[in-house]
Amino acid sequence: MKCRKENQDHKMKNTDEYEQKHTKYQFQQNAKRMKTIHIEPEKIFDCTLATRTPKQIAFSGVYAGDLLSDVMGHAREGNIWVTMQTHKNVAAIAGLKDIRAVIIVGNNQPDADMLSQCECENISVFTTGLRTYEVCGMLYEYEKKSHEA
Amino acid sequence: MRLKADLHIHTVLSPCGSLWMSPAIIVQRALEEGLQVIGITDHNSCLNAAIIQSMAQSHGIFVMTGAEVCTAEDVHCLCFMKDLHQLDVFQKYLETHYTTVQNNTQRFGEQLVVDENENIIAEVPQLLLAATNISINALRSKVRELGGLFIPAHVNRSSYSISSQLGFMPPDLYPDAIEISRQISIQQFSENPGSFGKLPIIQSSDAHNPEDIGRAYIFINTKNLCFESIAEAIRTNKIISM
Repeated sequence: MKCRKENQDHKMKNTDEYEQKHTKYQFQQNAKRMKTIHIEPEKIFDCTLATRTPKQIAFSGVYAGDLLSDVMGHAREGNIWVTMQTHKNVAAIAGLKDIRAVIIVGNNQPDADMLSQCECENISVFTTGLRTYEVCGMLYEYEKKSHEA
Repeated sequence: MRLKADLHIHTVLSPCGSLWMSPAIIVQRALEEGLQVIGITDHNSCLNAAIIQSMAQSHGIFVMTGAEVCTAEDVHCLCFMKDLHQLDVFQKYLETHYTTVQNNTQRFGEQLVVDENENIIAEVPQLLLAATNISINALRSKVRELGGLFIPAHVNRSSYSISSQLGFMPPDLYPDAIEISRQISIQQFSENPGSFGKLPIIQSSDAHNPEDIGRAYIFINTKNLCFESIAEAIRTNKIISM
């Protein structure tokens, strides 16, 4: 009987330790993921701020996507959103997901009503001639370096 | 009168349309299905619509001429024109907004303009499946300017639709109606329409093969068999589901 109890205690202790360790690990992971970085995109790559909003933005992570249904489902708060869509719904979805910056790639020019709505919601819109792959590559490098620093 | 209508049919002009979709076969199949109104809507082109309209007329079938336009956002929209003059204007408008991608007939299929005897008059070189550079709001304005009917296609589909490309119905778009695909009933869709609210709903076959014509249809309550009456009935939701 005693033996069994000890065993249980031992088991519990182990579980506690495991949980503590696991929680700590998760916390570190989350902190890493949630860590907000400041960026001024115009200084990092060839792009132009199209809205009257801050040049410098705080972000954590990037989401790239042109299917707005997908972005609505999967982008996270604080992400930079890289897309070629210029419809006004971009502004609505960025607002909904608490995205502070949208980068429009491939020389696509955003609609005037999209820009005005982004300004209302204080979302910075950048336009660039670069493509999604290049922009994401540079943002990835920037974020990685900032985490290492 | 109550008109049986299937407003979304492709012809041999659409690369994905079967080579059996000739004007004569489409009219024949519409007769077999008892359709009084059909819509000829090829991808980004109206070039086969007029001939089908003139052929169907003698059988008492009214043809809504137009196209299924792929907007810059990759959203498919049915656009119908009220007469052949407006159809011509609309066709020229579309042609100035094509991308430069050329069709590969091996891969995508042929894009044929034909006459009533199935003789090939022309082959369209640009890939009609590709998106135009017209934004959805600009397309809506153009169709309204020409007095046409604007209906976003298969809005419930997970590709090339308002839902997939734009997430939800833009509140400032004001389409005349929306189309749903044949996989769901109008009643089922209306139970949970989300951002589409109370817009009139049509349902059509999106036929690419003769056997699919009339697979889905609606009844339209209207006084006359003409564009204006049908368009008005759709705008005011005088639609009965199949």
